Amino acid sequence: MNSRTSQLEADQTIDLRLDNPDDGSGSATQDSAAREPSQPAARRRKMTLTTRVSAVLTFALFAVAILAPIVAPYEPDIGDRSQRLLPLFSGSHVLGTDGQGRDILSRIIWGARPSLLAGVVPVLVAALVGTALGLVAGRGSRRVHSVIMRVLDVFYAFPAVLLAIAIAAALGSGISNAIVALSFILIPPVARVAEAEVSRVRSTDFMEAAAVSGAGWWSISIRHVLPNVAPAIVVYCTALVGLSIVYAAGLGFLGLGIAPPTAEWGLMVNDLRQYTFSQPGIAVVPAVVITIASLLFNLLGDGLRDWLDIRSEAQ
Amino acid sequence: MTVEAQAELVIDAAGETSDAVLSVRDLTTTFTAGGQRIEALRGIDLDLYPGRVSVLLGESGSGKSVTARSILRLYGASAIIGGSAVFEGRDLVGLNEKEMQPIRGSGIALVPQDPTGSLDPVRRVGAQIVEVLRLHGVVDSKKEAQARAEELLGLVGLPDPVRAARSFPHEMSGGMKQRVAIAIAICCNPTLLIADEPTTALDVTVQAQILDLFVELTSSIGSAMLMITHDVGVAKDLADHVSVMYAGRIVEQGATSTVLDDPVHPYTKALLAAVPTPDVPRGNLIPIIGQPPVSGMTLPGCSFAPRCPVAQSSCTELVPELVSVELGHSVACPVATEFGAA
Amino acid sequence: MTRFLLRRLALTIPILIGVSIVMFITIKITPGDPVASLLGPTGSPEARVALTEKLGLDRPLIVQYAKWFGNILQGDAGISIARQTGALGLVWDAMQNTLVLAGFAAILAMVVGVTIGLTAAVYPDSVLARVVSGFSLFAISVPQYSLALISIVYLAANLGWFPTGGMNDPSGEGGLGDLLHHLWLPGIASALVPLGIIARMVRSAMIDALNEDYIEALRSRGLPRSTVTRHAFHNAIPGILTIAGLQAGYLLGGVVFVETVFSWPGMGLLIFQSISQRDLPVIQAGVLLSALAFVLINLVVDTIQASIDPRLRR
Repeated sequence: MNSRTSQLEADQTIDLRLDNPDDGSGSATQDSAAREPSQPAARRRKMTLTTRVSAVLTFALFAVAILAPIVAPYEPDIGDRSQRLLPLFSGSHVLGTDGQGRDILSRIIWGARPSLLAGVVPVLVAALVGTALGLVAGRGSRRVHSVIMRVLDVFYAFPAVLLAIAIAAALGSGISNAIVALSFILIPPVARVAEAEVSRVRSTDFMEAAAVSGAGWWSISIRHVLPNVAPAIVVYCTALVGLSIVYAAGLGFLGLGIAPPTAEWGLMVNDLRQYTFSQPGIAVVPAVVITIASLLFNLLGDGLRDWLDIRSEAQ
Repeated sequence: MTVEAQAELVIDAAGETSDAVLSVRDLTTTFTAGGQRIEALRGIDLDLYPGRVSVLLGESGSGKSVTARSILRLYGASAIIGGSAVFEGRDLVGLNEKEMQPIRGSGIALVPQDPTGSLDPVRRVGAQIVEVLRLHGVVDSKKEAQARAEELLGLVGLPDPVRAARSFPHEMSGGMKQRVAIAIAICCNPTLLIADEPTTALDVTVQAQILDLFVELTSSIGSAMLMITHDVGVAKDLADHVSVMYAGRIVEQGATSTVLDDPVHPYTKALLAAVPTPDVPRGNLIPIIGQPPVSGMTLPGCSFAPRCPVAQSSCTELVPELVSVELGHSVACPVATEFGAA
Repeated sequence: MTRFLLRRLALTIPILIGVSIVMFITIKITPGDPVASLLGPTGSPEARVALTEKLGLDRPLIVQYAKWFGNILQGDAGISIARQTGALGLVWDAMQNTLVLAGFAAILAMVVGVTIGLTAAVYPDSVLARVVSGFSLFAISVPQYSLALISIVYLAANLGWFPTGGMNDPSGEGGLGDLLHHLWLPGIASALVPLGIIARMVRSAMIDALNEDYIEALRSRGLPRSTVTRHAFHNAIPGILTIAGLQAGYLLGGVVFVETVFSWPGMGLLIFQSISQRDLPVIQAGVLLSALAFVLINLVVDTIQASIDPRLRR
């Protein structure tokens, strides 16, 4: 009933909760309720082919980014004026060249570095901070819980992208400021997932047993709660990387990310869109690359979730 | 079940020679799901008469509810229904969805088990009755429907019918909701009223009131009633006729007095021995050993044989037929009937 | 219902205050000294002190916030650096064009999404049902700028069906027909993802609703399939609205990209231009107004939900 949630969560709601409702979700929900909290892997199913393929491709993506100097056929920032605006599949320039005659494939490969960095780092930050907030909220007193959750509600009142734009614009353009801005907007959804998971674990018998045994707050949190909530958060964050890449490139597109002439996917979208009519083929290349990268992380997150049989109860 | 009421209903069912409102013969229901076949009903015979209360008695999973839903044809394509169920001269098993719709609610009405699950949570109670009244053309105008709905709510014992009509289901207690469900069920004067464990979800104190209401209403509107229950006490109090079900079959049926006071089938005997009565203190109850068969598992022969104290080797070979042991009392157990005859 | 509305409104107030605090913080985190940038390098120390006092920057943060908040309430969110007029007024004017686009996209997403979702729920074996259930991953992966670019390339540039940008044809008479013609492409680019999410949500909410116990009870009363479906839909609406309300955030955020690609003269395009001009007051006013709109939309959604489902009124 609480609709004070943002797009960010709507995406993830679909992503993490609404799987095929006609595949007998009733019994599956029971399954997860009855799941031994400390052994989420016990019910592990076979990993699907899609998940394996997306895992391999995700690794490949990172490998290409790391090995950019080796795999990129051309220098990303040096163009050949005589080779301007070549279409797709033209000889040695598979993805064509841009307005300055730079090889687009090489720029995509080099651009993977800042694009992935700005996609992954905010999720890592959000995972740490969000989990900590979720732990404190989920295990804290009623007052601590409501203060944290109400503050998160405020962030949900903003359309996520716009809040990121406001923060990044205030801090000034640059990749580190973009990362800060994205971290901020990704913390609330992670914190909510973590809080829901902690609340779920808290109500299980083994938690009461741990409390009765006299273990301290931190010791219970680290030794018992964290291992049980971690799989769900990791899965959620994997899918979140997809969204983060889209947002990061969005900030780049608006000029709030890394400065030209450095290759970055969002910047490339904005740079190449002026050739929409003269060279429509190359104009959409970076946009398609971003979509594919984002799709990979979402597929991976989705597959991991099924594989680990995690059903997040986050609302 | 006054004579007048019976006479009235015979006239209602014009052209019908048998006085049974519903005649079920060899009704079978098989579910197919994921390549699995589950035989939920394996040949049910049942006759229901106007003004009389018949009880289907059995443990959960014995096929009582499936019988009711198969008669009303509420299952989709996943259920294969065989045999016949002749209602007012038409075999319901052969009818399609369109032909069934006018019969449901108007000819045969169902009171479901859980009153919370029988009402649309976002519509006012009165509107839900009006909807059924209008659908079956019982009333001419919306205004008349509204008045009739309030009248019905009063008839089922709700203290403030006008206010009740304006209420939402969540504003009512379980007992009140069940009264509403009953009001909807009787609103079109059905020839047959099926009640599926109508009191199971209610508080014990409310149960008796609701059961009394059923008795009162069936005799006043003179419809036939099929009451589904696992409660031997309910059967004893209400039923004119009892059919005991086990694993998708009727194992014993007949007049309540004969079946429940003088049971023949070992399952009926065991069932009665497991129920506390004023004469038998709780400590002397005899539980039935073992579990009923998992639905879908088809054993050769009598399904009760694995748990039966008098089972013989022949019991696992042939499916026992219902055999008349005296007038209006049949039992599906060759062993028991042989002993009974001896 | 009145009590519900009052309580819901009361819950909105702390949210709005929270929103204003967050916006104030984004102003305060801007690096650099505002006094120095206003005075330039030639400013004397005395002038510095005077201006600092005039701007109230020597006061405690809480006082500065109160003053800023008071100004906002009076419609003053600072002066646009690039345009030298009130930022809030600029954004307000642009917001109207944005609401035309976002409203059109919202209607498109709701009407088509609900239709597709219902069909997929009622005919679970159809191809449509499979497409809808497989859509979500694609939907959350594809950015609006990609969609906008791809549609501009294939539907406007290649096929020439639609104009490639702007809101009205400068040479034409204008009017509603012309506006609609210009609306289609940015509308579809904005609506596609919410449409898919709504379709999927409608489908699963309907399947859940059709599996409720009362559905069988309704069927047992002889109600035809269409009426039963209507009952189920009525019950599914609140859940569908929740998701639809969240899509408003997506639309309001997405306009920055869609308007930029299609040169739609709205708030999104204004924010895009203000970024390159470092015109912070305009960006802040735009984000503030969008958040306000989003909060209001959710308030409306909650109210509609409560009017549909009496259980939510408590």
